[in-house]
Amino acid sequence: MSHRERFALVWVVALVVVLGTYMVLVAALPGYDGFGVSTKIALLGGTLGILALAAIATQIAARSAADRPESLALDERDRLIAGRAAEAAYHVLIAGMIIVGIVMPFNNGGWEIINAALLAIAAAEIVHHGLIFAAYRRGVRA
Amino acid sequence: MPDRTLSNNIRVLRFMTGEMTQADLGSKVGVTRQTIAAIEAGKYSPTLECAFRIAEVFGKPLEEVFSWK
Repeated sequence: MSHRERFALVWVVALVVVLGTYMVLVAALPGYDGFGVSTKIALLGGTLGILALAAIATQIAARSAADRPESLALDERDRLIAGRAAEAAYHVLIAGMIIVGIVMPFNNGGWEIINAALLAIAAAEIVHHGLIFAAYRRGVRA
Repeated sequence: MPDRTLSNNIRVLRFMTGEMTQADLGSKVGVTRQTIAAIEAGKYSPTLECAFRIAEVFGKPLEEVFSWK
């Protein structure tokens, strides 16, 4: 498994676990709506902080496990895979932003919109790195 | 358009060139070892430029390295 494949897999798992936990807490925590702004910001900030640490740790681990320093450079296959994954993720992100920015303001409040935006970004990231992992596993055709 | 896949003789040609490693071939054509492995396994079709470079390394014409299956 190449370091890019490994990073994509670990990052998808980290996103699902960390943001999944946050979303479950938001949806199921009794009295979440009654929490103060600072508590909600702390909860969101803690989640994003854990994700940032996970991103840094997985990137460092993946790079240190790379075969050789020159293998860190993208070649044509890496660029093709990255481009296709980014294109698919872009569509997911745009769809999410349309819902968050155009539909939700008519029916929902501030924190629901913030959490929905976070969900849209997470979905796009999961699609992005999930497709990268799948492409390295199953192969890719030009 | 007929649904055909590209096959190649890279593994055989590497063997005939003194067991050249995938990493050696990759460094000669400017791709990673993993990409050479993916090309050999039929999981990735290289660009025309890369295909010509691979053929050049083995000193063979393109059609002796890559063919339709």
